[in-house]
Amino acid sequence: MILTEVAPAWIRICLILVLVSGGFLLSSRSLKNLVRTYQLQSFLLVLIALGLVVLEGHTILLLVAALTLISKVFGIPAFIRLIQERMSIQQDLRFSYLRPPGALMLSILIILLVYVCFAQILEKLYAANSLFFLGSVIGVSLVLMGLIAVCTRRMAISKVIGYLSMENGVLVFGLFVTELPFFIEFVIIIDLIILVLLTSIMTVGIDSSIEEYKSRMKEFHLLSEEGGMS
Amino acid sequence: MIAILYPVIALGILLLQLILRTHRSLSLLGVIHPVLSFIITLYLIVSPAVWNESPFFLIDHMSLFVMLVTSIIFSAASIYAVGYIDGLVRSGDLEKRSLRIFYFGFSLLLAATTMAIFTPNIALFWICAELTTVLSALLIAVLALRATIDASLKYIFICSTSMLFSFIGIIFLFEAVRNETGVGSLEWKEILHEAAGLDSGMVFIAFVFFFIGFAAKSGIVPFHTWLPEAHAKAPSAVSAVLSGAILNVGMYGILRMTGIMQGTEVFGQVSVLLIVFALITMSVACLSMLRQKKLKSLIAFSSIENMGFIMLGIGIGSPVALFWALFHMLGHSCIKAGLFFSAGILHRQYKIPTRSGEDEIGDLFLLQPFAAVTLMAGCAALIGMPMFPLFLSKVGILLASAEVSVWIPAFVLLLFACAGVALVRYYLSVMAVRFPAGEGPAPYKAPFSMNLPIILLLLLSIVIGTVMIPEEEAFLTAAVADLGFGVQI
Repeated sequence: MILTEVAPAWIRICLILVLVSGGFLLSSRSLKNLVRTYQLQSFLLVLIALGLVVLEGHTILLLVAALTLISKVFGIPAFIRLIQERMSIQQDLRFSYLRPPGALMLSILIILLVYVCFAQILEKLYAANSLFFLGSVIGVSLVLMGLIAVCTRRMAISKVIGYLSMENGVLVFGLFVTELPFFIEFVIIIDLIILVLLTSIMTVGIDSSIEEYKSRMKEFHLLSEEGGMS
Repeated sequence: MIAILYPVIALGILLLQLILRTHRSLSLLGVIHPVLSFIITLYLIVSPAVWNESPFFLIDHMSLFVMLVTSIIFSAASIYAVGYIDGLVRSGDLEKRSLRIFYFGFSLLLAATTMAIFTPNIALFWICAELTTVLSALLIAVLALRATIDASLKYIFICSTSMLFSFIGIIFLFEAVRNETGVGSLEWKEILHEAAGLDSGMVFIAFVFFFIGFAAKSGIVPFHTWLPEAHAKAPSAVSAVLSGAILNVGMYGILRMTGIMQGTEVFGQVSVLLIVFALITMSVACLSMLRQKKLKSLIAFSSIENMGFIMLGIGIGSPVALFWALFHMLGHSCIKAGLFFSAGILHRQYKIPTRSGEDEIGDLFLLQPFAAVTLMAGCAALIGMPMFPLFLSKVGILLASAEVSVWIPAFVLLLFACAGVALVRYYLSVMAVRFPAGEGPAPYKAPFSMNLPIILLLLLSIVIGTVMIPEEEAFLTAAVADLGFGVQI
C-alpha cells in the first residue's frame, strides 16, 4: 500500500535523474565516465520498471527490468570497457559543431520544445501530470540528447554510447506503454547487442590507426594469423 | 503455407554455409537461395488461392511485388558475385577467409529483407529493417579498408539513430490504436482497418517519427549523407543490392504507413510533407550529380534522386501516382543494379579506387566494349528514354503531379534535365579519354557470370518498358488497393 503511494514519486525522481545522466553524457570527456554514466542511466531504467510494476502490477515489466539489468547494466558496458582497454584511449576531447556547454544549452531548449509540442498534441488524451505524458516527454528528450551526442562527438566509441543513450530514451517511452509485447522489447535488445558488437569492433579500426587495426582484430579472434577474417 | 518455405530455405542455406568450406559451394549456395526465393514468389503471385490468412506472414499483392523486385536483384547480384568475388580474392582485395562472412552475410541479408517484407507486425518489420542495416554495413565493410569501415560506420550511425525515431512513432501508433479500441495493436492490417477513428494529433506525430527512420533508410534528404559513400565504396555486388533492394525496404515502410494515413484526417498534411521532402531530395541529388567525377558516386546520387521521385508519387497519393511509383521502383531497381554491375567491371579494369583517388578511365570502348555499351544503355534508361520503364513511370507521375500543381512537373522536369546533363557529361568525358600508346592497362576479361546478370536486367528493363506483361496492370492496381488507396486507374 505504501509502496503504491510512493511509486509515482519514485518514478518521477528516476525520470529526472535519467535526464541529468543524459546531460553528463554530453559533457563528460573521460571515456570511463561515459560508460559509467550509461550504466547508471540503464540502472535508473531498471528502477523505473520496478516502480511501474508496483504501480500497475504488470509483471511483464519484471522481465524487462531483468533483461535491462543483464544486458545494459552489465553486458554492454563490460564489452565497451574491453574495447576501450584495447584502444588505450582514456579521453574524448574532440567535438564537432558544438562543445559541451553549447550541447547542454541546446538540450535544455529541446526538452522545453518537446514539452510544449507534446502538451499541445496530447492535451486531449492525457493530463499534463500523467506518467505517460512525462515518460513520452523525457523519453523523446533523451533520444534527442543522445542524437546530439552522436552528432557532436567525433570518436566512434563515444558515438556508440550516444546511440545507446538514444535507445534508452526509446525504452523509457516504451516502459509507459505496458501493453507493448515483451517479445518486441526482447528482440530490440538482441538487435542492439548485434549492433553494438559490430560497431564497436569496427570502431577499433577507426579510432586507432589502420596499421594497428588488423593486429587488434586478431586479438578479438576476428582475423586469422594469415590475415583473413575467420 | 507455401510462404513458410522462405525461412525454411534460408535456414537450410545458412546452415550449409556454416558447414561447407569451398568457395565454389559457398557461391553456389549464394545463388540457390535468391533463385529459390524468386521461384516461390512467382508461384505465390500466380496462385492467389494459397494466400490463406496466416498470423506469421502478410501475403498480399504489395508484399509480393516488393519481394519480386528483391528476389530479382538478389538473384542477379548472386550470379554476378560468383565471378566478381572470385576476382577480388585472386587480386588480394578480399581475404580468402572473408568469403564465408560475405556469403553468410549476403544470405542473412536476403532472409532479413524477406522477413521485413512479409511480417504482418510493424514492430517486427522495424526490427527486420534494422537488421538489414546491420547486415548491409557488414557487407560494405567486408574489404576491411579504412574507407569502407568509415562508410559502413556512417551508414550504421545515421540509419540506426534515425530508425530509433521510427520506433517512437510505432509506440505512438500503438497507443493511438489502444485509445481508440481499448487494445493496442501493431498489425499492419488491423491498424489500417482502424485508421479512420485514430486521434489525428497522435497519428501525425507517429507518422513524422516513423518517416524520419524510413526516410533515412531510403536515402531521403537530409538523412541521405550515408548513401553516396556506402554505395560508392561497397563492393559492386553489394552496391547493387543496396540500391536495388534495400532502399526499397525503406520505401515499403513509407508506402504502408502512408496507406494508414490515407484513412485519417491528417492525410493532407502528410501528403504535403512527403511532396516537400521529395522535391528537396530530388533537388539536392540532381545538383550534386552535376559535381560528381566518380562513376559509382554519380550512380549513388541518382539513386537518391529516384527515391525522391518515388516519394513524390507516394505524396501525391492518387491511385494513378502510386501505380507509377511502384512501377518506377521495379524499373529503377533493375536499371540501377545493372549499372552498378557495369561499374564493377570498370572498377576491376581500371583498379579503382586508384592511388590518385580519381576514376582513371580511358580507352573505354577498346578495353571494355561490353561495359561501355551497357553503361550507355543504363544511363539512357536512367534519363528516361522511351523503351525503358522509367520513361513510362516518369510521364505517369508527372501527369499525376500536374493535378496537384502545374509547377511540380515543371520543376521536376528541370531537375531531370540536370540529372540527364550530369549522366551524359560523365559518359562523354570518360569516352573521350585515350591513354598514350602502350601506357593503358591490359584488358580485363570479365567472366561470363559477371556479364550475364547485366544482359538479363537490361532485357528485363526493355521488356517492362515496352510490353505490359499480362496481368501486370491488374496486379499493380491490386497492390495499390492493398495499401488502402482506391482502385480507379
